[in-house]
Amino acid sequence: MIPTSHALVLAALLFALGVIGFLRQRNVIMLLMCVELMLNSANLVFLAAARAHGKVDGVMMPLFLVVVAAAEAAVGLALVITLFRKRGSLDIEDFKGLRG
Amino acid sequence: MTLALFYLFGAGVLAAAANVVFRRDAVHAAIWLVVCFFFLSGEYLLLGFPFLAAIQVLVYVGAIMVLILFVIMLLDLHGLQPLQGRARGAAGAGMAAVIFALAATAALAAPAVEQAQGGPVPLTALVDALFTDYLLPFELTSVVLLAAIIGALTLGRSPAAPSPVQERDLP
Amino acid sequence: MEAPWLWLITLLPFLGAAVNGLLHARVLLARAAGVADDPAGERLVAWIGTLAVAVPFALSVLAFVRLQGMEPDARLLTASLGDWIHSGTLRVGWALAIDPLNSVLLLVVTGVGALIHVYSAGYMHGDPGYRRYFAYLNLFVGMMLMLVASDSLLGLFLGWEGVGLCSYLLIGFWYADGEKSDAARKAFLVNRIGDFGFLIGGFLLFWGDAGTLQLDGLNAAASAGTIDPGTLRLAALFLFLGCCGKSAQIPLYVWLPDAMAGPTPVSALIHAATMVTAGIYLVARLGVLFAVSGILPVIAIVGALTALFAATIGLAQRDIKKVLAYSTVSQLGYMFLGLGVGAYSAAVFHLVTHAFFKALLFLGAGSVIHAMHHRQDMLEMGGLRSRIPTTYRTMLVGALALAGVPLLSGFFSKDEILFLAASGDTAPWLLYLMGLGGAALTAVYTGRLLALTFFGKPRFDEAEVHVHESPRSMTVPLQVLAVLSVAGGLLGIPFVMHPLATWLEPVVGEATAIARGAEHHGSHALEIALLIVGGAVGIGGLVFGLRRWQGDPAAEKARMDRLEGIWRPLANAWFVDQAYERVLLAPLRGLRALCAGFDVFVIDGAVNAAAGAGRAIGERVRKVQSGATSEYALWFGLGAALLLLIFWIGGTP
Repeated sequence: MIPTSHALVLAALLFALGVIGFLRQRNVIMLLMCVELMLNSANLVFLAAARAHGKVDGVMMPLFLVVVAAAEAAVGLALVITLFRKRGSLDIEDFKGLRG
Repeated sequence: MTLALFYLFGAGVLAAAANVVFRRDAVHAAIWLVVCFFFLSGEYLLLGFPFLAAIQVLVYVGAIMVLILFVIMLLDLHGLQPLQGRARGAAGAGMAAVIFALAATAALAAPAVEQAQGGPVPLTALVDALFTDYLLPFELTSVVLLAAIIGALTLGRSPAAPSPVQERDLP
Repeated sequence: MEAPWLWLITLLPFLGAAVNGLLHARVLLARAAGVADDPAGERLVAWIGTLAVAVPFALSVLAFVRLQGMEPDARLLTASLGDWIHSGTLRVGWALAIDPLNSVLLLVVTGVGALIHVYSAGYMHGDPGYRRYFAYLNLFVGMMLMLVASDSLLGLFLGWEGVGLCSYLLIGFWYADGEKSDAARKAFLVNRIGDFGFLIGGFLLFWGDAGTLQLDGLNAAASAGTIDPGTLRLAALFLFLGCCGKSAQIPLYVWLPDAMAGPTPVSALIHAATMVTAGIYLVARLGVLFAVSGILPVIAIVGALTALFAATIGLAQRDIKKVLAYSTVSQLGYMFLGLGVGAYSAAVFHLVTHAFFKALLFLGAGSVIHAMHHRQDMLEMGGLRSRIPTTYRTMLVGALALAGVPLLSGFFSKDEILFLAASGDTAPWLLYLMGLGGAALTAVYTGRLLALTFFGKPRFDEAEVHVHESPRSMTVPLQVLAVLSVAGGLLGIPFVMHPLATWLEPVVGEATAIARGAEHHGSHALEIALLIVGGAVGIGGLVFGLRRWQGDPAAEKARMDRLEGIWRPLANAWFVDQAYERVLLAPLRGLRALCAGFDVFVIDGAVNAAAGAGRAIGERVRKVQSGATSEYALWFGLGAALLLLIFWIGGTP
């Protein structure tokens, strides 16, 4: 039997990796992928909890998260394409228009 | 046996994720992400959620990742010189460590609610809940998807391309 | 008895104001007939305006007749449109209640008002603001009717404020003239002081557990003693302050003499039919309340003082309208004197006769001014008797009535008040002598007015000023009012007939009984003696005034120079305006400057300092918003870590 806490630690590790990636990568597409990593770590937490409690609600969240992730990917990638067309670059450091 | 497989797949997940995070080439990173998702779906299977495992492969690998790869190809990033330098590498690593430490401590310190009433959830229970208690959120997700489709279409359309309406109005 | 048609009386003038003021009657006329000789559509406007008051007059007559058909103690017509305010114990309706007292007021307001409308049709001919003028006039009458007919203090207050507003609009009718709009503002502001008193009085009454704002209810509560006596006295004093403002008594009379800046018919309307009678009406209406409160002596003294004081000023004015204005203040003083000694029906009697002859005098003065091409200085008139005979004859009647010449209306009403003052409880002989002195002065300045205006030789250039009699629309109202000024006395001839007093008895009887005690003071012999004295003073004063000022103006001027010490204060109205300026307004201006300084340096300074500090902080802090997404993500992650830490320390919720 898999101990719940071990699954949770795995999820934490995965999330930490996603954070590192989101902060060190500069390519916008890479950032999107790192966000996917973090979302998946959240899925893992939900599932581990669902199994620990034997409740259906924990399974429902990953299901919806997958849908949201799909929508996010669609819009995010459309943004990426628009950005690339306008600026010819995907470097996140190039997009600093919203400066104070 | 299950536990051994769990650790194995876990190691696979982490290794693939590390490759995603530290690779510079977008195509490589995307392929490593696919690998990561496969391992994750294996974890789901081990945890007793074969349906979610299947969804993971179908939607993530089959749809989302293909979409990402498609965009990478479309923009021809593979041949492009990968972006050099890191944005906030050190700070990111430090903070990730903090978050991990806190989360892991919390996970390990969590009271063991193990097994008494726990266990895998049967698929029938899942489906029942989806069409009764979760019917409204379920329907709303369809709205979210519709909005995403329209948004993606609007954003993705080339500004130079004339709209169909204008074309029709021309003499 | 329920009589919904009463609402027509109050609503028709408003309707007339709306039609004349909002719809462009000129356009309507052009479409309907296209009358060539009346391109401005004046005739239609005048007809609408006059009918909007004449029809309510007919309805008032109807109401009067209906009341007469009832038992004396049950004379009441009501009309309710439902609740206005219903909150807790307070319940005020949109309701009218007509009893003998306000039926008389209704008749005076609509009757004299209608005559003034007819007169205005001729007087205002050719004025570019003709339409606006009639709209205001209708609104004014409507507000006054609202005031008179309402059954609650709140509805009365609505009309009270309304006539204040309309007087502002009408006094400042020629608003392009700075002096006239100043006069309008003065009237409005002085009235505000009184209105403030009215409001405080109303609040105090409600606070003092009167439990109602119905006028009848207030009287009943006062006579039943459910209102705390201290509160009641204070409330009555404040209400009387309101009356002082509206009815131009010391110390708030200063607006009325300036109110003649408006068109002359407006002065007639303000001074005779509406507005200034509001204060008298309020005291008579709440007669029981005022009688129980014990402030009647205050009212009597203020009234007597005003009567004498304003009469002295009237003696020395050169402007024909100012003489009449101060005369109004003085006559209102008599009414308050009457109210103050508990002679409610005598006060109302004087109100009615005064409405007749003062409206007549003002309209006559308007006719004179019209004939003189807008000259108002009496020293530049003279000898008009033969040139404008109709105006002269009618004004003569009015002047005789005002002076108190026997057998005319003013004689009976004024002397009744004086007799009741002499036989009252409050310093009877002092009040009587003040009143008699005022009456003597009144007769003198009336004679002076007649002498300077109509007798002697013309003191103006006849080649330049073509004196002409006014059109029929102006002279006919004068003739009607002249008849009324004579016949008005029939409402109450001592020993012979008292139709008005009998009529008002059911309404003011209780208040009179409380104020004067049940038994009748004063003997018949006294009354006859006072009548003779009053008549003699009236005739004597008038003759003196006529003869004194008929001589040649050069001698007159020399005489004035000799008496400069007395004359100058009189001509300048005892410098009251200047005193108010020094004592009240100058400190206020200082306070204003202080406040302005406080505003500029402290308040604005604080605001500007806050804004400057915000800007300086923002200048430093804005660099945090670098625009770099990864940096934002870092902060975001830090926040998430912090939240985790908080949960971990505080325990998961």
